[in-house]
Parts: sequence; structure tokens; C-alpha cells
Amino acid sequence: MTAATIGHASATTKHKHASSSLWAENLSSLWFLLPIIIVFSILTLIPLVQSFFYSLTDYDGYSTTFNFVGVSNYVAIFKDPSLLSALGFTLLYAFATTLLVTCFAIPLAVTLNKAMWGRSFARSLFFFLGVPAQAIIGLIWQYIFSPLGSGVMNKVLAVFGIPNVPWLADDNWARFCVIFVAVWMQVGWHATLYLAYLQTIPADLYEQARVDGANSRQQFFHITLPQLIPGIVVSMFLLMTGGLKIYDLPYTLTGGGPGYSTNTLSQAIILKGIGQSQYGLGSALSVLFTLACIIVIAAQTGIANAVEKRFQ
Amino acid sequence: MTPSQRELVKKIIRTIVVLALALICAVPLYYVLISSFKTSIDMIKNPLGLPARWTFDNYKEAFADGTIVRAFINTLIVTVVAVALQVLIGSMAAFGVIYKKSKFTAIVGGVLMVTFAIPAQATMLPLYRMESDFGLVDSLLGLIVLYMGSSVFCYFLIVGYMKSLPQELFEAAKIDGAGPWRIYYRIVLPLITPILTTVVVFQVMGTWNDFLLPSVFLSSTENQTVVLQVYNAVQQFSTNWPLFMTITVLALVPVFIFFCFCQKWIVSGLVAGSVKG
Amino acid sequence: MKGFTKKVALKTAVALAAAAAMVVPMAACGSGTAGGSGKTKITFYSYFKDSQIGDVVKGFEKKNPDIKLDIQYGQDPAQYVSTLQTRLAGGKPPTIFNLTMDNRTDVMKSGAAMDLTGEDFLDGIDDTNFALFQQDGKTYGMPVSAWVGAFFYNKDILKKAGYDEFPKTWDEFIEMGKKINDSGSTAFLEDFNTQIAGSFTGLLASYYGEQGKSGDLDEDIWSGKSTFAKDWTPVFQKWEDAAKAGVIPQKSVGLSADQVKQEFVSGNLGVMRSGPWDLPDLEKSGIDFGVAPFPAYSKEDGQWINGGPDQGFAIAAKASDQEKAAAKKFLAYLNSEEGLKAFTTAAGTLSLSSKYTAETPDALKDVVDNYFKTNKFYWVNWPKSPTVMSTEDIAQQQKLVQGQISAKDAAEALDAKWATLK
Repeated sequence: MTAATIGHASATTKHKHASSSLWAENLSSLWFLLPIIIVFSILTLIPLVQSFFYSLTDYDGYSTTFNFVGVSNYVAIFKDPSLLSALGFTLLYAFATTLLVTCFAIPLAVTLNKAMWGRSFARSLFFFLGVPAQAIIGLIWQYIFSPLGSGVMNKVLAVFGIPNVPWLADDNWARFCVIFVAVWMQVGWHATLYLAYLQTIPADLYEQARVDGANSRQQFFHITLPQLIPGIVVSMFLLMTGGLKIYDLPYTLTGGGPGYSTNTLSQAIILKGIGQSQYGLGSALSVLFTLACIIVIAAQTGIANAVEKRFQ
Repeated sequence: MTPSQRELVKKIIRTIVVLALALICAVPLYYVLISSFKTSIDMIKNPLGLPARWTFDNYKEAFADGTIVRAFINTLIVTVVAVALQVLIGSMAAFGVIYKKSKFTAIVGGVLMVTFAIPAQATMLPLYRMESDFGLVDSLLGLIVLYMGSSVFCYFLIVGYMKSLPQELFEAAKIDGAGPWRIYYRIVLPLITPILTTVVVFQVMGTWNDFLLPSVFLSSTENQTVVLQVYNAVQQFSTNWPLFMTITVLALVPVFIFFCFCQKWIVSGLVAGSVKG
Repeated sequence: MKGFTKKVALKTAVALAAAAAMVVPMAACGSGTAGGSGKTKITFYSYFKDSQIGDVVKGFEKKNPDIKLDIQYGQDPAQYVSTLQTRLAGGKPPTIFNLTMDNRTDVMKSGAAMDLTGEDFLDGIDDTNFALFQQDGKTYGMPVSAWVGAFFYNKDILKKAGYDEFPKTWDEFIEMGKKINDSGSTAFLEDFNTQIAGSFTGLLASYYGEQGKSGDLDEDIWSGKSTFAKDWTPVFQKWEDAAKAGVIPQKSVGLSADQVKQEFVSGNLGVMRSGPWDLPDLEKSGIDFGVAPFPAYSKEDGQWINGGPDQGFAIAAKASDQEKAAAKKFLAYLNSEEGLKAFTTAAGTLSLSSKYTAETPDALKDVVDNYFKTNKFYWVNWPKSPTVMSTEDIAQQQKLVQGQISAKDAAEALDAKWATLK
């Protein structure tokens, strides 16, 4: 197919002079990049510049006038306990889900890669948990984690004689619930990702190890884990970027409460900027959020590259 | 025990443990499904058991006013158009960067790398104002424009895969006189079908499931997407939990069907090309 | 700044035109809204639910066959405010919308609502009721009804705990709550997730009343003469006593009003804070219930209820003349005997207009006659950034019930928030 295509191409087009085509090539790559440059400018660059601009003002979102207030919006953020709590929970969520999902997904993938009955059924089931929208999953779990005695989880616990737990009505339990649901959703998805990587590990590596007398734990730490490093890098990268941007799940599961305990930065930006008409403050939050994301992701990429180099 | 017997015992234990775990994890989904066939009272008295009497009234009621059908059509329009454009823009950009390596393409590649780390939420307030200046707030078109931002993610997945294509392929085609558009369309696109499929599946799921942008940018009933519809159903029918569960089931059915068809493609492309670019 | 925006505009236009060319035909075939029959189509984004205002709309359309009223319903109060704000800022205002306690100041300030001063259809509603919907002497909203909120209690559960009458003071209420909790039922639940706690507001009013205040009870705080720390701390303390005694249980944090009602109608709950809007559901449930004012801060006769004028109806300043004329017709219908009757009956509210007065439902007689009509009703009306302040208040109340902060901390947090607002 490919060979035929090339052959066809050569038959219909004339050869060109090498030097004149260089400029043409540069121009044509510009044409290919133009759409994404437009998208980037309109949807990212200009809004970011505007965010930065408004973050220095007391603009309220609909008035025609506003004043420059310097960095006072930024100062206000660091004085506002609700926003600090949003920052704290966003970081907690991103790091906790990244670590926990990774710790559960790898063993799950290794197990699902071994012989058993109903394997493809189990694989599909675990994977499907991550397919529905997070917003919908949050709504479902809201019923399950109801702090009332009539809540599903509390009813199940009551069967075992365990007293009611104030799930979503307690700061720490609510944080736990959000992270728990996120891990529940994503483990199967990431296990599937690891499965695909596991299947690329050459079988003779394990055979050689068995000949050398390595037990299964040694095989896991000396063959499986190092071979999985590219997969871990990809998986953790997706988890971290998704985790920092988290909005849907806590919004529908807890609404950010109780108090501000499960408030996230995304939610705070929307609430301040649109719901509460504090556009300047919301913009300042956007700018800080962007910086935080770039720092965390750059650090993660750096660490990942270093680790990958060591194991190559 | 002989080694083969030991293997068998291990296999049995593994099967029991994994299937038990899988079923426990699936209980919430079972809970949603089973509740949709119950009455309110039945659901509270007996959350996890089978219905005392199976009822389909909830389904009749869910379809009664037609908004759910409307929401499906809206979501379908947005998803199809947005994903098609994202993949087109993303793959063109990836080709542009790979095809001719220069300072310019290197800069674009670097900028896009940083862009990937910038959360959509950070740009939402200005985008909101921009769209309202153009009367695009509360319209499907406005939503599609916003989803173009995901082209950067598509670019990332695709460029990683494209790097694994042999560079000689381009050279050979160039010597044969093929122009860049021809190479992109006739040679590269067919070769990167695996990653394109993965990207399409990824983006379809992401767009279909998105809640953030519709919840901020859409407000009228006739423009609602499916996820938004489910969220609003909670408020609207708050005392009628079985009806909410029914709408949830209806929202999940297309996702489930799509998943059954596409499961095997979802990850295969990811492994072939690294996401890091 | 302006030049900058124009450049952006141009760039956006190019990109959008390309996308639009692809999408418009598809999107257009899905929306069958245009009525080619010469009808005036107006939109109404309603704070009130279908069950409350649906009949009014039907009656109006019957009387005015040339007008099509396309109605959309808001969800919870916060969602209503942000969606409306979204549509106003997006230049797509509904022709008619509601000014709520949370958005009235912001919307009036923004100029999004049409000036209704001196319109004929406002006749019959007493001037004092417009206070919340006026700015600089101009009227932007028309309230036609008032709401009341009080404690609703399950008579059987109270009887089992040895009570034939509802307690008159907060301390006695706590005593009773402990007894009910001991008897195996849940004494009290309340929604303070989407709004500030009604029981707290009732207690606060009682405290102000016992201090001899009247009029806008929070006036001193708004004017800067007093602070939340000074005026609210004792009330937070009293309210917190109930939390410490388990009478405002931790599990009530984060519940929605509907979850609370669900518990009440299934007979598990002794007391809830509610209003006439729940009467139809309660009567259907067969529960034998009573209604009582909120227990007083300390004096036997110092009880108050929640209440105030309902959400006002406003017309978009941006609407066309034809739409405005149609919208005015709707407001006039709402403030007519027929409209008022349909609305107040379905919504369980009280008419503010002299054009219609209804028989008060038996269950509410005491509350309406002895409290509402004697001006012993109150709700916090933040004069600045209501959503910011009520969000903060809700969060502090939730922390207080969880025992994370003290009453003084809660009040001081409100002062700190208040100070950050312009």
C-alpha cells in the first residue's frame, strides 16, 4: 500500500531543484503548523496575557471601569484561608491519586497478566470503571457515601455492626472519599495501560532469570519494574496533569465542602471569577495555578527523564 | 504437590480473588442499574437487593419530555465536530514539526510542550468574555471552539508516534517529488492509523464526558449535554432518586457500547509512541 | 486596551468563521424554536420550580395566545445565581428573570435589569416590599409574594419523648433534642449546604429582638458601627451548644434540603427547618406534623421566624421593545387576582399584593398571624457581595458544627471576609 502510494506520487510529480525546495519546505511546515498556532494564540496565549492583566486590577466582571491595584490580589490569595485550603487539597489530590493509582495498578496489571479464568471479563470490568464521566460518578457516590443512617455505605456497615460514619459530613472523611473514588475509577484504566507495556517485555528475560534461580519477587523487582518504567512515566504524567486540573469529581461529590475542605483550585477560579464577580482575584488565581502546574509538571518530567536514563 | 498442581491451585486462588475484587468494585454500577427498576420507597428500604416489583415507569418518565434525546443529539454534534477538528489540527501540527526540522518548528514544539501543562481553567475567565463578545456563550458552536484547545493533547500523542516512523520514508517520497500535503495525506496518515484511533477514542471519551465547560458555558435547556442533563436531573427530581438513576443509566449506555467496540484500541497506540514527545 | 481587544476580535473572527461554516448547518437543524406564526417569543429563567409557577405560565399563555413564554428552571440558589450571571455577562439575558437575595445587588449594579419605576402593574404591592429591589430610588424588581420558614416537627416523635408542645427557648430545644436522640430517632437535621442555616438565622433574630432592635437588624454591622464578632458571637455560641449536645448532628453537614425532607417524610426525623413549599409533600406523606417558630435566645416570648419578600421579577434591559411589552404583560398577569392565586397556592407562599389575599393553611396559621403579620420575621440581607458572604457563612457554620472552630472564630472570619469587600 505504502510502496504503491510512493510509486504513484513519483509518476505524477516532477522533480524539483533541491535549493528552491528548501524554502518551500519551510513555508509548507508553516502551513501545517498554522492551525495549531491559531488555536494556541486564541485559546491559550491571549487569555493568559489577559488573565495576567486583569489579575493586577480590581475588575468585577461587568463594570466598565476598573483600577490597577498592583499585586494586592496576589496578596489577598495568600491571606484567604479558603483559597489556601483549595491549593492544599488540589496538591493532596494530585499527589495522592498519582501515587495510590500507581501502587494499585501495577500489581493488578501483573495479576491480570497471569493465567486465570474470566480474565478478559475482569480486565473489561476494571477498565470500564474509568469510562463514565467523573461528574456522573461523583453523583452516584454521593448517594453511597451519604452520612445519614439511610446511606448505602452506612447500611452495609450496619450489617457488620459498625456504627455510622459521617462520610461527606467530615473534613477528613470527605477528603478520603474524593480520593477513594478517584482511585477506584482510575486503577483499572491505568492497569490496562500497564498490561499493554507488560506484554512487550520479552519472555526470555524471565526464562533467563528462572534459570538463574530468581524467585517471583526478585523477578518483579529486577525485570518487571525496570521494564515498566516507560509505562510508569506515561501513567504518572497523565495522572498528575489530570489531578492538578481536577474539577468535576469533587464538585459533584462534595461541592467543595464541608467548609472548604475539598475545594479545588479550578473550582475556586470559577467561583471567584464568575459566581462571585471577583474577576481580578479569579485571574490572579489563574496565573498562580498556571505557574504551579508548569513547575510540578516540569519537575516530574525532569525526574522521569533522569530515572529513565538510569535504567536504559 | 507437583509443580503443575501448584500452578493449578495458584490459578484457582487468583481467579477467586480477582473476580471477587472486580465484582466488589462493580457494586456501585450495579446499584445504579438496579435502582432504575425500583420505586422510591423500594430503593430506600432495600438499596442493594433486587426490586420487590420490577417497574419500567422510570424509563417512561425519563423519555417523557424529550430533553434527554435532545441532550444526546447536542452531545453527539459537539463530540463529532470537535474531535474531527482536534485530530486534524493535532496531526497536521505533528507532521509539520517532524517533516522539516528547523529552529522554527523546534520553537513551536517547545511552546506546545509548555502549553500542555497549562490548565484550561486558567484561561476560562478571559475565554468566557471573548465568547460573550461574539455571542458564542450558551451555544454548541462556542463549546466546539473551546474544545479546539485539546488539539495540543492530540499533537502530543501523535508526534511521539510519528517520531518512530523511519525518516527515510519522507526522504524517499521527497526524492520521488511528492509534495508535503501529498506525503501527509497519502503516506503519513495511513501509517499512523493506530495512534489516530487511540487519539480519537481518547478525545471522544473526554469530550462526551466533559462537565466543566458545559456547566460554565451552557445555560439553556435546549443546549444541554448529556452529563449536564444528569447533573440537573439530581436537582430537578431530587426526591425521585430512581428517576435520577434511570437518567444515569441512559447516559451510560452509549458510553458502554462505545467502550465495547473500542476497548482494544484505546491503549495499544499509547504504548507504541511515548506521550512525552 | 480597546485596540488590543479589537485585534483579538479580528483573530478570533477568522478562526470562528472557519469553524462556524462547518457547524452551523448541523446545529441549526436541531433547534426547532422559531415560531413563524407571528407570536412574540419571550424567555423566562425562573428561580421558582415548575410545580410552583408552571400553572401561572399556562394561565398566562391561555389569556395571551399571541405570546409564547419559554420557561427554564434554575436549580439550587447558588446555581441559579451563577447561571444567570453567565447569561447576563454573555449578552444572552432571558427576557424575564428573578432577582434573588444572592444576586439582587450585583444585577442592579450591572444595569442588566430594566427600570420598572412607576409602572402600573406594580399597583397593589406596598412600597416597603420593594426596598430590596431598589437602588438609587429606582425599582428593578417586583416581588408578589413572601415566604416564611419555621421549624416543622413530627408530633408522634415529640410525644414519645414526652412533649406535647414545641419548646419555646433554645435551651429547652436542646433538652428535647437530647431526649429524642436517646429514644432512637434523629432529633434534628437542617440544610446548611446551599444556604445559611435557617435555625441560626431565627436564633439571631430572636437575640436582636431581645436586645430591643427592629428594622434592618444588622444595620450596625453594615454601617460599620458594629462587627460580626460583637453581634453574632453570642448567637453562634448558643447555636453551637446544640451542636455540642448532638442536637445539630455532624451528619447534617452537607445535606441537601431534599435529603432532610426525605428523612422527615419517612418518619425518622423529629424536627426540620422548612416552609410552606414542603406542605404538599408533607400532607401526602401522612406524617402528623406541627409548625412552630424558632425557639428564642432566652426569653419565653422572644421567638422569631425566617421570612421576607420572595424573589423579585425583573425584565432584561437589553430586551427589544416588543419583548418588553410582552414581559410587562406577564408581570401584570402575575400581579392580578388570577395570577396571584395560582402562584401563591402552588408555591405555598403568601400574597404581598392587595389584589388577592388567601386563606392561610391551618398548619401555618400561628406562624403567619402571630409572627409574619407582626413583623417578627427576618433573613440576612447582605448589602454587598451576597454570594461571597453567604458562601463564607455556610463554610463557617459547617466548621462550627464539626467542632473545628469556636463561635468567636466563626464571627471573626465573617468580619475578615467583610473587610475584603469593596
